[in-house]
Amino acid sequence: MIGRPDPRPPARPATCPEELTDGPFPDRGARLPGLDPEITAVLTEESAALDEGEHQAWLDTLDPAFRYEIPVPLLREDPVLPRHSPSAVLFEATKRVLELKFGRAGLLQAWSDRPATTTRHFLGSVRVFAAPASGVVRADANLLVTGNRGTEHTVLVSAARQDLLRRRHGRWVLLRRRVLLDVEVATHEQLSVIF
Amino acid sequence: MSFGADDFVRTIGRRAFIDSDVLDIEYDRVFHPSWQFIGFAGEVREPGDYIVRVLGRDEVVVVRGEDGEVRALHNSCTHRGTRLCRASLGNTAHLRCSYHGWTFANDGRLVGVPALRSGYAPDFDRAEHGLPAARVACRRGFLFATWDAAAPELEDYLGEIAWYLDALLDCGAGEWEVCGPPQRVRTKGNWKIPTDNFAGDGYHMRTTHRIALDQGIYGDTLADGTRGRAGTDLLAVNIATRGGHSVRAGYVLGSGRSLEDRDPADPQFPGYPPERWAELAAAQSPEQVRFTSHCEVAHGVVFPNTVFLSVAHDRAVGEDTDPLTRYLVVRAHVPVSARETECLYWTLVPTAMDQDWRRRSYRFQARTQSAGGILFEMDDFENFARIDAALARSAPGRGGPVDLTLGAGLGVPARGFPGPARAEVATLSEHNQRAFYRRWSELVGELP
Repeated sequence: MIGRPDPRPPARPATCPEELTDGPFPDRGARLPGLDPEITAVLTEESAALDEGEHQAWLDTLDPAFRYEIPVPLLREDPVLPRHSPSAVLFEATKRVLELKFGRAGLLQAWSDRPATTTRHFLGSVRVFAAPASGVVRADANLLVTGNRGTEHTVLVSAARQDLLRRRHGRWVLLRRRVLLDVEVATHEQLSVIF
Repeated sequence: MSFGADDFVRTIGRRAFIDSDVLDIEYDRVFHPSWQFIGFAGEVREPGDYIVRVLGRDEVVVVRGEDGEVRALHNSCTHRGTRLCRASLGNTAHLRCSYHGWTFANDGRLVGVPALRSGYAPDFDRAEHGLPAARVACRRGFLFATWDAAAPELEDYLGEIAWYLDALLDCGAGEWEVCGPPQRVRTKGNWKIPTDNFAGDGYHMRTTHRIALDQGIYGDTLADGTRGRAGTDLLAVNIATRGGHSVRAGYVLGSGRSLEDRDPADPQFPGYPPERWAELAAAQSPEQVRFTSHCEVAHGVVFPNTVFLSVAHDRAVGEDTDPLTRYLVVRAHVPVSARETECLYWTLVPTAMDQDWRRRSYRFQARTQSAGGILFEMDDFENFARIDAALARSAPGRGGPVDLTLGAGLGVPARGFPGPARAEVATLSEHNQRAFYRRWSELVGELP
């Protein structure tokens, strides 16, 4: 797997949205500017749920097949080469894993969650594109997150965020999220953020 | 520092974990004479492939030359000292300085000097300006390096710990693939804090990782064994060598059972597919099987700053249909300063396992004990940061030295244990940490 791309073929037109949660992240399809306001509103509510500690409300924005991944950043000589690994991740999660994470919040021995970190997600430049499955769109955005937890735990982290959203039961839910960190080597405080 | 009758360290002064003067001494006396793990041969597979790593105080370019040899070259031009490689990985035939253009072949020779004939005296000798190269040794794909020309050969340096590393690797019944490039994270706290944690700290599991155990990410057997529930016990064997290396192997056995009660005709390798157990046993020597069979978790240190962990996780972090699945992770804890450490993680998967198993093994590592492991790893980082914060906020002598006496004098020799070096049964013990700091103190000597 060293530096090798995912051996599976690039995402092709999927027969069902769930297929898009595994393998290479789908390329951008046609630009869909008409959806920018609607998807921006969805992502704004979703970020607010994270920042305001509304964990169940946030989990409700995730499709059951949701997958979350933070690829390993790569500092390479040639600017043309990808700046993140196609196969290695700093962290990866399903909805179940994130439910376990938020299930810790009320427990006394959740040492790294108590006291809680105050986060602020600043979302910008949301652009919506077609995705290779019916009822699915890709939304790319710039993200700045701050985190504070006492005097010694202050976080500022920027990233490109790529989401797949799916229309389900009359609303948009997150099907997949890929977080491309700008920093080559993040601190543990930065990596403790849910982006 | 204080020592017990066995000359193992019992206590260690707090400044060892926060003082930059101590780190300076460590660079000279601990890191310089030691072999340090710098990555895997598979990261530099082709001629010209390079990665940039830290070796003691220095940054090195680990590069495979056109002759196929892997070298660790000082990442600093011999003209003005400019950093040569700015990227972390890549492929190049030459390392060219961005300042005046001095150019080095990927074996370290200076091959290009702009204006050499017009600007330098005739006796300027390029051969005297090559890049300093550390000694490099490759063992089963693991690359180690040292700056010390007088250091023993790697095999002698590793000593008895090599037997245990081989046993963990041979349990995979073939080659291993590295899921690279490595995960990296900067953490608060001195490099020795996470390192001694891996040497033998089973003690922190019930507190630091109580929730992970309760949430079932270790499956029932290890979690219940650790907590002494459900009729099982975790029985751990500690092995520490004179060289400061160590391994702690945890076996989940029925309550009141001993290691001798395992049926040698029925070896079990939890976390690997049961239908493959006979094949895995056949790939090992009988002595290795006696070490690996029924072992739920094994972790340890290759002195000074490389650690390893082999452990199985349950479907709690996967799908309902997922079986208990093992992963093997190797880590390097590289000082950034006396109070900050960069951790690099490489996950290894046996090529004998099918693609789904390997993918699941890597995912289970990524979801738990990875650089971004919010379910598990962050609680360790939290403790390392809390240690750092409190030690740095202590007046000299306040609170006394760091205590390492857990289990001292209580370990029982592991009768008939197959591997070399003294093995003692003590599930909760700081035996391995005491041995780590014994070697550390031998090298550091008296602190000024």
